[in-house]
Amino acid sequence: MKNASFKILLEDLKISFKFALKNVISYVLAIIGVFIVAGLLLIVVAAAVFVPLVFMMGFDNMVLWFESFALLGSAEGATVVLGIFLFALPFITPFFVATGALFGMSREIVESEGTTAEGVFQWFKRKFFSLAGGGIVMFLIIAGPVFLISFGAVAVFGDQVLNFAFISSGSASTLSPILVGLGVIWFVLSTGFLTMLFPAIIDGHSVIEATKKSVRMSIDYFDRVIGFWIAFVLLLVAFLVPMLVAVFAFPPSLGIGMAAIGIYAIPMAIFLVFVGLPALSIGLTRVYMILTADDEDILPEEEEPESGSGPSFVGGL
Amino acid sequence: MQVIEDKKLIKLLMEPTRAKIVFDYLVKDAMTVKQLSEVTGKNPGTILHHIQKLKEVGIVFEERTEQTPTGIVQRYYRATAREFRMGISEMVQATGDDARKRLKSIIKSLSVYGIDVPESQIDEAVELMTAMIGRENEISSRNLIVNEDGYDNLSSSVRGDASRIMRRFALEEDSQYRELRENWHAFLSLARSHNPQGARNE
Repeated sequence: MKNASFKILLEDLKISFKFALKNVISYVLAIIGVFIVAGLLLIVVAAAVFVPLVFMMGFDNMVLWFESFALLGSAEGATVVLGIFLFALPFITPFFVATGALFGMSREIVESEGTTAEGVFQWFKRKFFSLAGGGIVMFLIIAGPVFLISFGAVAVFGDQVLNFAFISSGSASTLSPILVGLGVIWFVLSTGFLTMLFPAIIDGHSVIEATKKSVRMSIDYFDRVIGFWIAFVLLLVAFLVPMLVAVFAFPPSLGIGMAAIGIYAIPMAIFLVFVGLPALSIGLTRVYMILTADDEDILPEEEEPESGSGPSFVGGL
Repeated sequence: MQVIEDKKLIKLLMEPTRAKIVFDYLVKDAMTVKQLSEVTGKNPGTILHHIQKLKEVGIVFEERTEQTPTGIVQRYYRATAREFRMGISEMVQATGDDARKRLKSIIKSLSVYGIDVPESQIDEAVELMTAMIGRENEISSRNLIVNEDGYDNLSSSVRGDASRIMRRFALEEDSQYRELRENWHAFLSLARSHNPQGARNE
């Protein structure tokens, strides 16, 4: 029951999409609501970062300060990477919390077959710091090595290596596809090992415990955890294939080509956001709950002994 | 029976939904979030949050997990004891005036039985009752069961009846409890004798 087979993975996907579709209205409302809140929070974070800077340094000095980052590595690529790490993290954290809160809704569905759109705000509020911490850990583990390798490459090969890798400029046009390929493999595997992180946080574990649990479960039940994640990624790729075919078949410069891509891409994006994302969170939560259960099999309802329940004869106390 | 003496735990259980979940349902049987949601009329998310809090403090545990044919993975939660009682002096310390007000209102409510405790004696009544209940909790929380497996196999009603018989027996054996109970009963008898209607009923 805990290990994967093709049939079990297919069943996992089927159940995930079935529940996502069944609760689609709750999810649509919740996703819109929670991402609006995350957006508002982003504005608050931006204000908290930039307003003190403006007051402390003055606007012109602040612009000069930001420009000085360009001199740090004297390389465009290094500046881009450094910029992501220094400034992106606080801004994307609210979106991690929003995504994590969807896992809370999914937990309600997996455990009790029902949820409400407002439920997402309860999870957003009650697990805010844990989910934010989980998101940051996820970001650092997935993006951290990329950051370190980038700086290592700058130290060994010089500035141009990042320009090739990130901007695909210069003569080394073959370097970029290789790095992109390695990057995709790293992204899929590292994310796969952290797929149980949000379900574990929702289950009441701390960020550190949840991270350990996610990695341990991904190793112990590699086939079920990574199998489900890869199956989902492949499904996503399958959704993208018609679009890629259309890009090659109709050059985007042609109006008809753009229209064809748009006709497919817009509903697909809506489907992936409002059904795909919930299905992913439902599927991962369900896998988490199955794998953390003490027993493997479906247990029958426990029955009372024959003498059974009934009225009490001895009162008092 | 488990007597809860931790003040944080008492405060946690003073929340009405949590108290209902534990004292009305999970002490009797293992239940799922869905079942608790149906009987309490609260949404599953709220129940899940309460269950997590109760799990964190060790009042509730996951008994088993079942997969339904529809794909739901439901967990059955159960209270860690068949019966809980709040440590009365700890409850007074934890909730301050609230618990004391409640105890006073219990004393005043005895008037419907013809026992009118004068305002000046209510504090004395609270002290007597608190001391007796405190001792009762202390004795009742002792584990009297010698065969745990056999106890678990009993039906809930038989288990309840047997438990009450044995707890009553244990209380009667305790001289300190007997003394506290006699003091309390003497106080009640005196209060009733002041009430003509109560005395007539006697």
